[in-house]
Amino acid sequence: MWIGTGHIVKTLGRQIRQGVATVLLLGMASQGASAEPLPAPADEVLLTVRGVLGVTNGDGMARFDRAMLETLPQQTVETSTIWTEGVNTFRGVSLKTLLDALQTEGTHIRATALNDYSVTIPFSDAVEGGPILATRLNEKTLSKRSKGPIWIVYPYDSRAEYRTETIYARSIWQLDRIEILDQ
Amino acid sequence: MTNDPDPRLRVDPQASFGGHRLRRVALAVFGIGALLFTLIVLGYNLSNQIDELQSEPGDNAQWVLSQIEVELGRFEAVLVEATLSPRPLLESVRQRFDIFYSRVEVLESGRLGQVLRALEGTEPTLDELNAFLARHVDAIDGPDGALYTRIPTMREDLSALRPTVRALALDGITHFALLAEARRKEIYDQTILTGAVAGFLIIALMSAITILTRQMARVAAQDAEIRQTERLMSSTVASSIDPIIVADEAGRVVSFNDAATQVFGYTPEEIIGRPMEQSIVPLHHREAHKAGMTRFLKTGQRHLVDQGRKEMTALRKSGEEFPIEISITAVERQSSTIFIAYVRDISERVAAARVLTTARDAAREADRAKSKFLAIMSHELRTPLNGILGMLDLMRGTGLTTKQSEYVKAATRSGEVLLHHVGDVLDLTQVQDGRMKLASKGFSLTVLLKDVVFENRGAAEGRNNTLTADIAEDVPDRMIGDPNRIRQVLSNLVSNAIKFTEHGSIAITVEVQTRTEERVTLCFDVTDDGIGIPEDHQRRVFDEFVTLDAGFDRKSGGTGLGLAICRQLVSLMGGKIAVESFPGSGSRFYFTTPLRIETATTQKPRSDTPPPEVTGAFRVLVVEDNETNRLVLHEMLEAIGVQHEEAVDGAQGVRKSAESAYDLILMDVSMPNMDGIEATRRIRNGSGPNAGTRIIGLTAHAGPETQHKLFEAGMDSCVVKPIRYDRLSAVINDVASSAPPVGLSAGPIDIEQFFELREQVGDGVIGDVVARFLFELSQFMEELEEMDAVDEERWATSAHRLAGSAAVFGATKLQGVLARLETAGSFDGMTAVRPEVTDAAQETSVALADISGLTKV
Repeated sequence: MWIGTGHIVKTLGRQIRQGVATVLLLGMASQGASAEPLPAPADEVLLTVRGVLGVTNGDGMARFDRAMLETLPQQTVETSTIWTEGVNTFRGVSLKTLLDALQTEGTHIRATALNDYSVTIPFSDAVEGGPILATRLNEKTLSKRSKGPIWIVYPYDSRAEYRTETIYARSIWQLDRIEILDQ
Repeated sequence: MTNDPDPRLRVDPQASFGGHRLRRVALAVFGIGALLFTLIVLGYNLSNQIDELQSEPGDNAQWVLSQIEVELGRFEAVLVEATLSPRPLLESVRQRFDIFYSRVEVLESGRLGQVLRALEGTEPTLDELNAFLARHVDAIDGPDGALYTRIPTMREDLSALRPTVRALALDGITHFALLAEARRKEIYDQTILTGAVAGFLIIALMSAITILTRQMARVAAQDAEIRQTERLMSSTVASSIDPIIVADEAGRVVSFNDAATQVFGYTPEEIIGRPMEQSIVPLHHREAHKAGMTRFLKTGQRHLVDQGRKEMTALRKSGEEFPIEISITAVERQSSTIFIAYVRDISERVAAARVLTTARDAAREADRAKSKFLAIMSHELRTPLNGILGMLDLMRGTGLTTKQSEYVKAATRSGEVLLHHVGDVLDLTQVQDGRMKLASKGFSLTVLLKDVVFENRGAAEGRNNTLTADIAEDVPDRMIGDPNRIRQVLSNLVSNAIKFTEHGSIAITVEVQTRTEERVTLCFDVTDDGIGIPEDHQRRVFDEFVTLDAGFDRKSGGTGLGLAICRQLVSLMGGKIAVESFPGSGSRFYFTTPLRIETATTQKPRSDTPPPEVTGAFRVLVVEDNETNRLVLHEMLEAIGVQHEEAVDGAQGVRKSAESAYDLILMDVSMPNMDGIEATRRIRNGSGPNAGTRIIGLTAHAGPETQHKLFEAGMDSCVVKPIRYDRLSAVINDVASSAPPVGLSAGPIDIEQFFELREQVGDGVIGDVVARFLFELSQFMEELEEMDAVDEERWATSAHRLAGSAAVFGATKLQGVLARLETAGSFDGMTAVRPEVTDAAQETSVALADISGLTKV
């Protein structure tokens, strides 16, 4: 029973924090450059961003939980991939939106996965109609056992340039952390 | 004028070759097209393959396999750590499981999964991996305690998987390497193939370019040549002396050169574009011109075009109509025809021709006048001469004293000389007019020379000259030629020699110049040692009216016509005459003449005419108006010893002929009221006893026209006045000894002549020969009906020819009337004679057909 209570409190707390974070994030996102700090994550941190950031929430880093990621303006990418069957719908915040929201300055990001697989993605890839940090596959949460929680998915079908080895390599799954680089 | 068009305008004979070329071009285009298509297909393939290569997750697949191995290792490591210090690491274990799980999942789905499952070992390995995951997932998802207890088993299971996974990874390396190699080879091959096709295509295109370039060069050259030709032609046309006019199908003038402007008066600007009818075609031709053009364009019938030169008239700008010579050719172009006309202004030529024709007609008139004059003159001169000589002849037989005899002889000689001169003039005119005909009969050279010597001995002795004659040994004696003419020439030369020699010698020699089996050319030579001829004179000595002394104190006499006549006669005989002379030492006149040698076959039996004196009941009728002549004839006939009666004019002659039959009628031709011709006609056409009697005309007109007239009237022969005693007796002899004349009237046909012909050709052939002549006659008659004004000469020639044929058949009436047609001289004259010709032809045809037995069939 104490477990259940703790659970409820945790959940409630999380929900309140999510709400606040959402408001703040939304505000932040719509305002663009603002010195306001990023709200702290209420739940399990899915993504940690390091580097020269205009917005942080502690220790010079920006930490996001699922709610925060899914509150940011979402993008849907409908595409087939070499890892999936048929055409699927991926939903998540686009890389561009994220970087804009973070007000970063740099040239590349280094994206690293849970198993320490890491890849460098240039800022130039972060365009409208470009890659998204997908958290949902066909509206279902992307699980860890299935390339989740975050999978950088490019709209492969939309351009031939997205169907190259380089892009496949950048299609990092089980994304864990991002480092902003300036080279 | 040939109708071949300019070769450059002709359709290219390589048109057939062009057909080949077209096929070749089509083939080439097809080939290049095929190559291009292949190239495109290959290129597309290649591009696709490269695309595929790019999007091929080959390397990714390799990575996936090694990743599984790595994660497996990491998982194992974590499990080992967990075995040693469990609690804080359970999250890591779960994490690692999830990571491992997701790695395995990649093998299952997507294209990547497909590629990986292509490996043999993938499926079994996958099954094993999935089995492991299935076995332990509940522990991972369950509480920590359960998980902790499971860890050793998990670790064991995982270790067991390691070799399998390793093997798979290693397999993968080889597999994907091979795949990559194969893929690279394929692309390599494809590239090479594409490259090769591209290469061929390039070669093909290069060849095409080369060919096209060469074509272009050739076309350019042809172009230049065509332009050159054009320039040549336009300059030819421009500089032509005669007008050249080009017109289109509608008759509009397209081109008008300088010469045309000069001739017609229009400048090119004035006339180009206007129809020809409105400018250069004369009004009265315009309809015909239009009709002709239309007809040609519609039917291609050529009346004027490509028919050579035609004469017509054209109109100058000034309105003057003038004659032109024109030649038109048509040239077909792609869609239309153009006409090119070459024109020549022949007004000058026409005018000149007219002048010439007038002059010629005038000359002819003058000539005819001259002939008439000469004929009349000769008659006028001969008639009294007849009287004089006749009388003198008679006088000789009347018992004269020596002196009287001498006087008579002298007088006779003078008369003969006079006669000789008159004869000379007539001879010359005859020969000059080409009317003299040479006889062709056998004679003895020796006798001829003897005669010449005999004739001239007296004169020679009179001037104390010796006269000798010599025939070379190799000269044959019997010849065929005209002895009278030869004698005339020779005698002339001899008498000349005598005239200009005194106390000298004149030598006549005859030598062979060339000889063949049947023919020989003789050289007659008359050499004297008289006064000779000065050199400058020698050239002119054979000309007319040239004598050595033309002054008033003429010693030697002569009209100067002798040598001229000699030259004409010698040249008529086919020989040459010449003179050599040295003034003071003498002259040598010589002439050559070709003759045929008389052989046994050519020899005609010589009928030795016995001397006169015919006895028997031979009756002659003399019809002569001139009293003197009548007297002469009377006396002569008395001397010969034949009965004779006289008629003083034609009418009386006809009357007497109707009364009783005579054996011979001597009919004078020119008589007042009814002349001899008319009288003869009446006698012949009548049914009296003398309708078939031999009638011999006595005439001073010696010309062939006269003779034709006489024959046509019905006379059998004629004798030229003055008739000499010997001649008369010979004629009478002839008549008396020949076959009695046919009693029937043969009308238009001389029966004897016809019989002679029949004897010559034979009974079997005579029918054919007559038939042919009748056909010829009928053709001539047909043409005569349609005779038009233009060609008088042609008619004269035809009539002459037919008259000749008629003579052969003895169709004397036809012959006579044809002779008149021949000499009618003008279209009107011919038209006047035409009905008589028709009648004569009709009569003659019937008579001939009858007499040759043609009508019997």
